Amino acid sequence: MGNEIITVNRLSKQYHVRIITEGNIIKRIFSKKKYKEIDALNDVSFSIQEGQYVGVIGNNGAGKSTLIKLLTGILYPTAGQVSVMGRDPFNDRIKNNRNIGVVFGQKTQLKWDLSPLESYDLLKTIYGIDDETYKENIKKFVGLFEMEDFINNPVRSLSLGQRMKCEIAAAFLHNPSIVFLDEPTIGLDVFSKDSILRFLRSIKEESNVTLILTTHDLEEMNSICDRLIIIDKGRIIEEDTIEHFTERFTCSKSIVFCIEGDIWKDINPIDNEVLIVDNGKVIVSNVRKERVNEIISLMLANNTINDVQIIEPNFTEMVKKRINEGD
Amino acid sequence: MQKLLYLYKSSRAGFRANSIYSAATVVKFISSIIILTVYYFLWKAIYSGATSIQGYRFNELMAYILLTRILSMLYPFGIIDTYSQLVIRGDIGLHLLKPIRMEWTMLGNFIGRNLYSCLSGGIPYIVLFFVFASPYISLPGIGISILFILSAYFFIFLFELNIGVLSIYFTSLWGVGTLTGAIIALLSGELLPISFYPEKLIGFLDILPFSSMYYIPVNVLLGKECEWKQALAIICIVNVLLLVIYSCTSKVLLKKLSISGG
Repeated sequence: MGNEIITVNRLSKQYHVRIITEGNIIKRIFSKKKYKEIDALNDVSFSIQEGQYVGVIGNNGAGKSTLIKLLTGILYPTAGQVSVMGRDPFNDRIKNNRNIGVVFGQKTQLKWDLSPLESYDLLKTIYGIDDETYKENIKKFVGLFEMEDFINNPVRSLSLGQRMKCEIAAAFLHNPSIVFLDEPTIGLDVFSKDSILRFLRSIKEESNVTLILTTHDLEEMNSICDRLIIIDKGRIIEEDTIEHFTERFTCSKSIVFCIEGDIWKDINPIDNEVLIVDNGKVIVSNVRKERVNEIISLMLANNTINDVQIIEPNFTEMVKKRINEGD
Repeated sequence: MQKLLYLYKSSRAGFRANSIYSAATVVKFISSIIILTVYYFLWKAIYSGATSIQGYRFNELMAYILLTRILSMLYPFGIIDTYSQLVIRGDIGLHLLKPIRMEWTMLGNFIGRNLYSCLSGGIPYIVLFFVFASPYISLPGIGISILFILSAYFFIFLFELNIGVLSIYFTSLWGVGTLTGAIIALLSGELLPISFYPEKLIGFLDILPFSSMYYIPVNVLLGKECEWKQALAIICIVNVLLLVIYSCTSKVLLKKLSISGG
């Protein structure tokens, strides 16, 4: 990990949205148009270090895509400052874009009627990629994504998974310093998802690229990102390393005992602990980390135990819990 | 140099993307022949009993009409709608992500598309044009006409770009492209030579750049007398003005761009 590559300071973005009035078409044409302001992002601040993989998560409409659009200089902020590689991404957009790669999961940057390879040739000229790097990267990406069979087919004839592989390869073609992936695995089957995750892991191992990923698949994010930012209603409600976040939210666990014969109950639940005895099973939930040993020892000393399971909440549940907790 | 190479490659890509639909090419070719037949018999009927109308003989007028048809296929009409669609769908964001101005991409795509359109649907017009116009064409005339055609190409590109960029503010420019096309057809002499118009209107059109799109280059090519130097100066000045205006308006309007949704 290295220097700060992205700095965001008190960033806000408001959208001016027209309200469609009710009534017939004549009324609509002649009535005064009404607008409302929507806070897509509200007073957001954070920084990202070079080489980090950062996952941005949140509900639909939380402001994730708007954040990416502001970081890539497509949109102009209503307030606040953004610095990407030391530059203002809006005012120095052309210069800044030389070193970034972007994939919007629901849009394509490839030419619809041409093959991915023909689109790559255009990108080669746009980014001024030298022949050696271009050939090397094409060879590498074709290998990692198993693209030989479809790299010469028109983009319109590709499946969603094939197209997304081509889009991601296009974003990495010029060896950018930062790559933004906005829901790159949306609608993909498990094999295509795995292939993309393998690709991202391999890039992480061999380069110092910084990756900003927005996704609704939290387990996928957990498997490749170092840090997470949770956005809710345009505000950052959580910003932490994945490791620390997981540690914080795995402080309560559930223990399941499968007992042979009669159950001799000898646990007095404390704090928020809940005890359920059912059909040869004793389940103790909401157990604090430091109480786990004590409970297991008590149960082992007084029962014949066939099996013990300690269940930790999964990552998705932790994030859901955090979003529900709110600001 | 990199921009010119990109312009060449994106023109080639635009040409290839259009040429993929071969059935459309055949349909275009057939419709060109039908329209051409209508033109021929229409003007034949108008010229029955007259050797010349407003200084144009039948062959000259046919050559005029044919060349204006060819040029209308060559010129980049449709920028307004393209720009507006990019804004409505949010695809403008993908163009803004590239380290090259989106206008270069648009220009390249339109050059490719226009060349393809001209070669696919324009062949019957080109062949017949040379049949009717060959006695009148001179080498200097060709040179001056090419200069006008290039200037007019950039004029239309910049003119439509200046209107298209307003879609960032208004979002939809539905119908504006059609209206602009109709005004240009009237003021440029696309449908009829401007000399057929009333005197007062001709005087007004002399100070506008639209006559440089069709009327002046076609007349120069046919060896007819016209004030081409003044017209060339006007279109060059207007092009520079349009470029400056576009640079300013796009800078201001891009700050107001809003692309909501993922």
